[in-house]
Amino acid sequence: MKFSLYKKKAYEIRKDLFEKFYLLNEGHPGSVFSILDVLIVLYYGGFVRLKNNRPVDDVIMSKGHATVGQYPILKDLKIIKSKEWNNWGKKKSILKMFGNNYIPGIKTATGSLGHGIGFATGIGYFSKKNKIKKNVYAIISEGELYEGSTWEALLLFADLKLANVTIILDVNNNIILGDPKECLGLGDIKKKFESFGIFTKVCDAHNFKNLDTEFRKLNKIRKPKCLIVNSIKGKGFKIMENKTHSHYWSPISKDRYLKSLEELRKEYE
Amino acid sequence: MNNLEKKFQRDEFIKVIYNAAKKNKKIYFLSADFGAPALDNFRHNLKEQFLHLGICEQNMIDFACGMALEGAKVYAYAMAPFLALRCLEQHKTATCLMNANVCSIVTGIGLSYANSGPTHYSTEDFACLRSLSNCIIYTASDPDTAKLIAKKTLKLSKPVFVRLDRKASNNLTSKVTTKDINAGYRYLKKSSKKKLLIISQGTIIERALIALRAIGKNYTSAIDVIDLIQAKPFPKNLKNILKKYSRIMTIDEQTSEGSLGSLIKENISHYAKLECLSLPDKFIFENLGREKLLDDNGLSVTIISKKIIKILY
Repeated sequence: MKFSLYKKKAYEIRKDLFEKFYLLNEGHPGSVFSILDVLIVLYYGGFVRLKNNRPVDDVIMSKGHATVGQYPILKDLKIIKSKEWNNWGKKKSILKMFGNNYIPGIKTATGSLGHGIGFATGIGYFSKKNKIKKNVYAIISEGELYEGSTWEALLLFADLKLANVTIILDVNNNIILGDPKECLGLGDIKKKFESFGIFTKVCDAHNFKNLDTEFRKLNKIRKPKCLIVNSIKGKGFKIMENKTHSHYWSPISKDRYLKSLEELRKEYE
Repeated sequence: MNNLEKKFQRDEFIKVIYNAAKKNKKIYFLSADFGAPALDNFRHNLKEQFLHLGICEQNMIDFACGMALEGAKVYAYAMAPFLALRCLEQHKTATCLMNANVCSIVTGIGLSYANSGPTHYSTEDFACLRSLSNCIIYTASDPDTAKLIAKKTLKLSKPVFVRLDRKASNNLTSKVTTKDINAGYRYLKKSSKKKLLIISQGTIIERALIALRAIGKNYTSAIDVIDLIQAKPFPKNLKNILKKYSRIMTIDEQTSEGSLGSLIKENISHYAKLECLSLPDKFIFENLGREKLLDDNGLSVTIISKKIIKILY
């Protein structure tokens, strides 16, 4: 039942976002679609709890260019008004290509990379000290591992032994100019995280069953933790999958647009 | 007043925050490996509210911001050149953009850290910080001002930068009041003739006062002196006061670009003869002590005196 809901939402929200990218003719579809299934599980699997139409738990989208992946989910959960979703791209819309904390349900301003773990650690530490029951999920990209502030934050995160914060590291093997291995190798990321004292697991970013199981297990682990999710950049759209250029939206013809939507429908049939 | 009565601005500031933190458990003090005698009390007695984060100004500000978003009042403390510039982007994206309740205590402005050299001088922090939107910037010229600024910050809930000097000093002769802090400036000398206004910030203002004493009353009876406490937002009333003067002189222990002189130029709309004294646009390497470095780099009492006489006549 739950897994069919994940699949249904994954299709509907991908479609909503693709239509919006086409309409706006801008965005970062590759990164959004690589992390979208993780967001689906967090929000529809009960990992992000809601109270009075507000999230109790926080999702910090450190890879800020993927924040727009949260918008249709927050709209579906009635946290963002449909009117705002429809206004996106117009002058007075509160929705932007990068999120900020003025948008309902979006906790932090991100877009500049390398801030998310620091934010999440601060939120998690204060919550722990003040006995506020809250889980924080900080979603970072492998590209953010090039930012020094990420490593500063990891040191503190591990030292404070925060069990209420989970780092989700999206590895799609693509940064703007291509494969990180051809740029500056990141080495064995899991080993590096573990060397900090962070409990680290690896999972397929598009397998709902695995994601659901791993998040359930991680919630019971009372130590700093990280889930590395191996993803496909642009997942769901043949014109984008594993393609570096999908980082930015590229204009497409109406025929290609309709064909892409049809391919998506067939994939999720 | 003798040297024994000199006080450190940072100690006066921290004592106020310490006393407030004893009653308010949501006040936290973060240090990027930077201390002060007054901080020892905080560290030992309020361990739950103090965090030594290591030498990591960037993460300190992101972490502080995360705490503030949850309801904490956070003070972040480090040496001026690093807390201002190393994490400038964190101040922009984290604290200022998200309107976080974080007060950064930028300690050791100007040439405070002579003879450490350019890496430790903070001669451009004012230009950098004031370019950020949505923040308040205070500068203390003496220990009592630092103390009252600290009290003021406890009532604020938005991004604040407090610029403090490193050295111990006496209070200036004119006693600062809460009203001055609220106004954002104070007159250290006021005349009825209003021939020249000298406006300065930080401890360099001491040199302006010495210069005036050296010149003598015949020259200085028509000169006013203002200590600018809050540079951002620029005090509204001060804009009107500036209009009353046809001659204005600024003195700032910063390099010229974006310094106090630039700020005043941005805030006058009338014709006025303007003289902006600041440090030269270069790195200073000589090991001569702060006072001699100031003397040799355009901010000696003699130069200030000469410039005052020149602008007057």
